[in-house]
Amino acid sequence: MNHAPVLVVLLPLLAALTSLLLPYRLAPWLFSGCLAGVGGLLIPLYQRLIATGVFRYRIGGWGWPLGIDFYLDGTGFIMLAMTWALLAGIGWYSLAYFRGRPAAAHFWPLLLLVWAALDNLFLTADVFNMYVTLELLGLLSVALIALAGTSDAFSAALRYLLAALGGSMCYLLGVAMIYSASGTLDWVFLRTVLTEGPRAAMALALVTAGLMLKSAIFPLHFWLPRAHANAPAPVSALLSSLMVKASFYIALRMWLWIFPGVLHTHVAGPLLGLLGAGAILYGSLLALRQDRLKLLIAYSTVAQLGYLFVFFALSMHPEDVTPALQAVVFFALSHAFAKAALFMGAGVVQRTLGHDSLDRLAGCAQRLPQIVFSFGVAGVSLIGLPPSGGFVGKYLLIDTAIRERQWFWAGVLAVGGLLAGAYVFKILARAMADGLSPTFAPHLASITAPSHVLPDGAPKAAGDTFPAPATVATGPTAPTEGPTTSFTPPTTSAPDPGISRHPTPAPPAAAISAAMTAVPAEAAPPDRGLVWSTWTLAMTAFLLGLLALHPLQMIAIGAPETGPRLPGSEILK
Amino acid sequence: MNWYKWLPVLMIASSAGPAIAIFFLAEESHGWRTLWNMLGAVLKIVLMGVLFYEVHLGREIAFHVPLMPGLTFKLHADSLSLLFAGLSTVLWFLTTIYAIGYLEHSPHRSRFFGFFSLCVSTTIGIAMAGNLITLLIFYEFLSLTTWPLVVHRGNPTSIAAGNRYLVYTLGGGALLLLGVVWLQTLVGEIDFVARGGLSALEAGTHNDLRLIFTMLVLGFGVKAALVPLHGWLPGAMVAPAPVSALLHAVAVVKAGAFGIVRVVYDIFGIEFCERLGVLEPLAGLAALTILFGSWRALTQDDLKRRLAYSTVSQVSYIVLGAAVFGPKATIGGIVHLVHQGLMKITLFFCAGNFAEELGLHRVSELDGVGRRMPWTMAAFTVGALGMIGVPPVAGFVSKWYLGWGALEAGMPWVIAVLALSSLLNAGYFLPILYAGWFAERTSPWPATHGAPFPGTSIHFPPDSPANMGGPSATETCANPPAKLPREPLMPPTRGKHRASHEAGAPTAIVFGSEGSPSVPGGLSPASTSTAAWEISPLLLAPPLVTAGLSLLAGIFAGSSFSPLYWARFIMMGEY
Amino acid sequence: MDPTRGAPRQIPPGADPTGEGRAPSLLVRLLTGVGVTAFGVLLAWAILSLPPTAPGLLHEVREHLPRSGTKSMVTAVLINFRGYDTLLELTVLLIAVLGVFVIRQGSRVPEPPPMPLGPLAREFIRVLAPFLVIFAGYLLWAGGEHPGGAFQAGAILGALGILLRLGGALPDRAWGVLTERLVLTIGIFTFAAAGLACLAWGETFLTFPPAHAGAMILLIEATGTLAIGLILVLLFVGGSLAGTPPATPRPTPEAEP
Repeated sequence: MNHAPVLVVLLPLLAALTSLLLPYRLAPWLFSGCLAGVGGLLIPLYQRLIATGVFRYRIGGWGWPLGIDFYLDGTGFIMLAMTWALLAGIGWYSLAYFRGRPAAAHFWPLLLLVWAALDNLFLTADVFNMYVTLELLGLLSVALIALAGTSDAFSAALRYLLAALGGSMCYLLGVAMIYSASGTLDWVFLRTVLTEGPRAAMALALVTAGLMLKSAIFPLHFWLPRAHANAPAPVSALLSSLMVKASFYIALRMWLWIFPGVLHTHVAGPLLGLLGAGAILYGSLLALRQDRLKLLIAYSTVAQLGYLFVFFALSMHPEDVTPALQAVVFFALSHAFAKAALFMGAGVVQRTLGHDSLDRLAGCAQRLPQIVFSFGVAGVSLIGLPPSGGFVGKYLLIDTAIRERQWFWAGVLAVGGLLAGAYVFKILARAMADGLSPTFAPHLASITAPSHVLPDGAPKAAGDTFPAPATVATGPTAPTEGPTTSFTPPTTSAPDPGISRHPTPAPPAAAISAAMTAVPAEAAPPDRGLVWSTWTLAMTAFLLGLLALHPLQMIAIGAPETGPRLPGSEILK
Repeated sequence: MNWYKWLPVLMIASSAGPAIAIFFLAEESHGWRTLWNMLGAVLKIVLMGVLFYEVHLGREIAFHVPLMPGLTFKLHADSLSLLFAGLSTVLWFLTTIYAIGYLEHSPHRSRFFGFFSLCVSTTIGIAMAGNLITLLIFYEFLSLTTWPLVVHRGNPTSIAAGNRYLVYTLGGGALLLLGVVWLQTLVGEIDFVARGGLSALEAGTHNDLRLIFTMLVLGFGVKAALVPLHGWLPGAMVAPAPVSALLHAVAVVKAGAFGIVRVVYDIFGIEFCERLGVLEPLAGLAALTILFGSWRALTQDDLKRRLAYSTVSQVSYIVLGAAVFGPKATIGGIVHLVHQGLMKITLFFCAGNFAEELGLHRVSELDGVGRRMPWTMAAFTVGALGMIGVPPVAGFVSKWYLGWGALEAGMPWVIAVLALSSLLNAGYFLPILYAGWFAERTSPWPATHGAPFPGTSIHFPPDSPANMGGPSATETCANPPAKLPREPLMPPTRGKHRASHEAGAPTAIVFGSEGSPSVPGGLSPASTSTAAWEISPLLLAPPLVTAGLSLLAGIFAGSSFSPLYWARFIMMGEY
Repeated sequence: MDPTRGAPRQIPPGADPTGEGRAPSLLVRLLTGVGVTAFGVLLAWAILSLPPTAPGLLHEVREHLPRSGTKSMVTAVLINFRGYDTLLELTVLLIAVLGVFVIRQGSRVPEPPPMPLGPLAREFIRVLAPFLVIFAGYLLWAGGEHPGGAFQAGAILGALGILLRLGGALPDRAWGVLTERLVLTIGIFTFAAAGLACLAWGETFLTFPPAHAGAMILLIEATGTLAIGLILVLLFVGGSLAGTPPATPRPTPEAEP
């Protein structure tokens, strides 16, 4: 009898609790142990899925309709595997990122709890259990964003908390309506029990409104850019790649498995699709206007989530929604890897250069070649160029659109790719620009002074230039090039949100609109772990298209038109 | 054992592998980098030879692996693949040698050669694509790998040119993607088969097919620089000369033209195209491009831009050959793929040599260069004459077949276009030849090899030894022998100069000025010639070889080793 | 409580660097008002159109109650039928506390304990405190048949803690770090352990055998009470009350903003 489904959730949960009791230094070991353990548990799950198809696990032994069951199908498994892989990458990155910083003591338990919550979400068959998971993820996100310790991060976290609570409320109301109408909370069986009609539509609308708030679908995306941009880099990666997918996953289950009839009316689908198209357009255009790297990437998340909602406009014929389902899940998968890599790279840029201002990225390709390369290949996945996973996802979505003669949506998807190209190459062009060019005001004499810190309470007047931070070209680039950039007090870039340890005395006279403690550019090259973890995730996103076949086939297991089995037929202890 | 089906994969890997290795090399490891480069190039030639041999034996070489449900990634080696792949392989070998010489002491060489090798892999992938989706994959990938080369110098002009390039190629790629997906929803997997596989489709879909044809042609046409989609090409000339030579004169534009050829012959089939009626508009577009390109070339003073517009014009000969319904025209178009490649790369090599050695970027500065650099000028002459269509250089052969085919197809206006274009070609090439060989040098060379300060020049009287191309006084006294370590002997010379011209910035000579690729700390004049040569052998040999090949291709066109024979062979499969 | 207290002050009070203090434009307010009103109307209509009585799962609960190990329907649903949800809810509470810790960035509560109360209040608290403990214990026990259980008892313990804090009896370094963390997590640990014990008995997770169900439920509730009580106290206090600071790493010199 295989308990793997519940162990997949319990292992990270118990590891999180244990890491609270043990010295913080052991936490990464616990995390690695979880990686090994959960990875090992995924294998029998996979084998079972391939061999016999979907299956259930009854928690508490009560079964439907009283108890909570776990239910695993292809989509759920892909999400579990995606979580595992992304957490492996983010964990590797965080190891280096939080090394020697007090935030590490808080970070690892929270990360493990996120893992447990996500695994629970992708396995559970109970819509109320999903609500609890949403609460878990919401609070965890708030805590993780607040790890940055800056007041920007706190205000972003608070805004997110309010949005998340509002979203959860709506979702709970919707679930309550579903329960009162059907008497069951198991989404696999809800379709057989629930009658269609305006009440179902209202419940679905409530649920979707709540989920839209939580996954930042235009126009309810207001909380996302600042939250993702001000969090520490591994947290941003986690949020943009996994958390937003969680609420989309619930929406997917709701629309395709529980209430497919609502899509048949051909009203809701195009409406959601229009919101998605709006998200693509709005997010991309705003991304182009940003001058901070992390904000650009955050707005790119808003845009890419729009793709996920365009899917609803393409799935109006649930008799054969499998290709569209495969497309959108695979798209979500490759976006997760690409976005995580982008945020991780931005974190390295911020650490190394001391800022993430796009206008001062010149010379970055020389200093951080592997990171810029990672930006390139991850960006390729966002644009949807071969051989990346984004290409396969986009191809399949356009294929579905054209087969259904939905030219508008095919065009939207194609244009979305072009807009993504615009902002991806904006980053790359800035990074590839030559740091020695006089346009970018080089200082040819490299100063080997260590980090330069503002004396407390003595703000420099805007317009003073700090001496160029020590930048000896490092890594595999030529030592004869010592690109340095002149450094005026930035008014737009934020301080490194990696930590903030003690309250520093406020600089008097707020002539500077965003006064900051001076962020010294680190003289040392970035930690190898940071660079390689970023690179690995980026290359995974880039090459995912070549490995697409099997995941796509897996997603088809348990796809909606195969229908739910009769209660009790395939239930397993 | 079916080992030979791996040959296409190996061919792609033979430059992709070195690319990855080169990316990780430190900037100073010249030796390793050269080793990897040459290893890849030589290996590719060897594999090409093996491939030719196997195909000659009659083997079917196809490699496929499933990619998505319903789609396969397929590489095959049919005759057209071999033509394009063979051309790319040989030219890559020569360009690698050229690039090693040209970029000595330039920064970011690891990055450059890494992407350069990847570009060639991608081009071979395009050549060997066995179905439309594989072609699309490599085609889009080519846009990605060429962009870092366009923006290589990192100055604002390069970045702007790169942005422009992206707008065009990504836009074309989106259109192409829509067309490909649409076609695949109609027919499923689309393999390249001789004579095309679409003629069996029913008449109701014909309008859709016409639209799809347009989308595909426009998508490929961006890279093939069809008017009005050619706007990226002249700007892309800011890239270093090896990039312009191989990629933007040969690989990228040929990839676009190759795509169109595949669409017409191996997807739709030439006879089906004729039935659909799409050939005449295509011919018209091609003719328009030919004339427009040649006309614009007349007014360009910058040599590389003139050559760029000439490329715009010449590549459309290939499209024209595809668009005219008739075996001769087909032969003419396909063989021009090879001929134009050889001739154009010669011209670009020579232009690079003029810039590298003498700092000459403008046609108006080329007076008397034939006496300074006779071999280069000779190669340039061969290429130019071929472009004009003068026998016995290869260009004449392709134009002859195109004209003949047009006559047979009953499209005499094409002959008028060809004639007019030849006249225009003469109009912008002959003055260069005249200036180079016969004109007297009235102004000093902009940056003579060995001048103590850039910007100054040493005026050589017409009969001085320097102008004879022999060892000059300044050369011997100011040139250290080639093997000295890099010391700051003098301020950066022509390297900077070439860059600032290509960047379009004023030639203000300030240490570390904009656009300079040179490393602060000075450099010694690289690629110093020994007394007997006008320029480094690394830079001289490639254009001579390609010029010679152009001549041979023309002279021995009738033999069974010529590109013409190969094109005839391809044609026979298509009708 | 101001969540930014204790955070590094980087913006002078009164400044509005991101422009968020501005009221939104009239158009935005109008659209929002229209949207919310429409939503409210739809919502009201939907809820009013629900059937007046919805049986839900009442019948199933009654049917399985004897096997659940408790006589109270609420407790049965909470700890047995839907026990997994409760396990996760306990985790939610824990995360809330962890979040407060994060905002504190370290376990030291920077502000001093509140002003000590007068002698009358202190005496009152001294009398009340043991009674509250007993009351909590009673609620815990009574949960088996009447309204009661872990959350209610935990709330009482939390109230006790708040009273003690206000009375000055709960100092800043009241207990050790490990103790505090242990009590915080004991609820979830016990619950999970109970569930895993069922695996040892050959059942699925959290399938309590009817013979032992009562005892297990009591154990889970007891530990849950402690945990919930402490969580509520710490949420009120706004940080950890633990003694020595946890083993936070000394910051390495160059790794700093």
